[in-house]
Amino acid sequence: MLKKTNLNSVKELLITTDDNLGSVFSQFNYEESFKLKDLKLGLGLIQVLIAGLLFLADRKFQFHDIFTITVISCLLYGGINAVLYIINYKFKNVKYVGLNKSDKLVIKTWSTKYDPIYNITIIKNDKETTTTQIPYNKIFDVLGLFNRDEFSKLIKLELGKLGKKNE
Amino acid sequence: MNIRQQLTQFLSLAYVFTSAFIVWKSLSIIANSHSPIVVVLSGSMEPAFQRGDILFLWNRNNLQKVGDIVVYEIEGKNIPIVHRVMREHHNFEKQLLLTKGDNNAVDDISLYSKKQQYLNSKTDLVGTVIGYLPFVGYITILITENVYFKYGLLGILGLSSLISNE
Repeated sequence: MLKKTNLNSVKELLITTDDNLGSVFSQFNYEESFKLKDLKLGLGLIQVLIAGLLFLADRKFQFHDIFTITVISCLLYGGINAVLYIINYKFKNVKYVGLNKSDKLVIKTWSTKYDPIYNITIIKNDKETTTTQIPYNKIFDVLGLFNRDEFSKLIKLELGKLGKKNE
Repeated sequence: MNIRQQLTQFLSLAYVFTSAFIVWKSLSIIANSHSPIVVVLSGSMEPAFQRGDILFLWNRNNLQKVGDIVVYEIEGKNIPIVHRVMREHHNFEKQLLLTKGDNNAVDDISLYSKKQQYLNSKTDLVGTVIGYLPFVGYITILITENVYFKYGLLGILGLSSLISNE
């Protein structure tokens, strides 16, 4: 069943469009690489684990009995936070990484709060780049249903531009 | 929804709680106190502090001075008490303190443990007051003491999350 998106929320339009990147790029024989997402999820889970264990220790023991453990836990949590900050800074707006036999695609997408425009940058093999702006009214109908075929056509055009740059 | 999306949602919610907890524990480490921020619950220190004032504590002083306002906890009673140091005795090993609330007629001996006449600054103190914010902590008093306020606040939070679009 098709899911309707709230046309009054740019953030929801962005999320719905981002959610469709995987299926659209699979049409062009790209397979999604989850390395970056899994790294961030893994670090986040370690943070939750550290805080959770510290919380349990805090309930069971006195503050001064676990002082060293508390210091180490806070430092570890802060260190992981710093690593996540650097990753998020370096890979800002990266929503999709796709691989096929010969190429690697990195897709960055974003929208500003009050402009209903989907900005998309496609980076091929870390060298060639193309950026375009797609108004959301081109890829969503009046009911808020996502038009995947139209979106695929626009992406195909952008991929074609990258191919031409290469020739 | 796939497992990665579910984990991302879980982590974004968990991050709110874990980061608040870690910030609290970091403050505890810096102040060397298990509770670096406390809310005044009684009027025993009026006019210096009113109910609802938030106090910031520091527990790295070697010696407390007469006139300092300290927060202490008695073994077996987990309620922190904010009172002023009236008398102190110390040697190289330890410091003993006698405290009293500014608004109380008598000193705190009756509040201490049985047969205890002085506080041991090393074991009984939570910290020395180094700063305060007036009335900011009153919301915690309202939440703990007023059931209508607690459920009203929960209702408003729930409604705001339902009404907001993003």
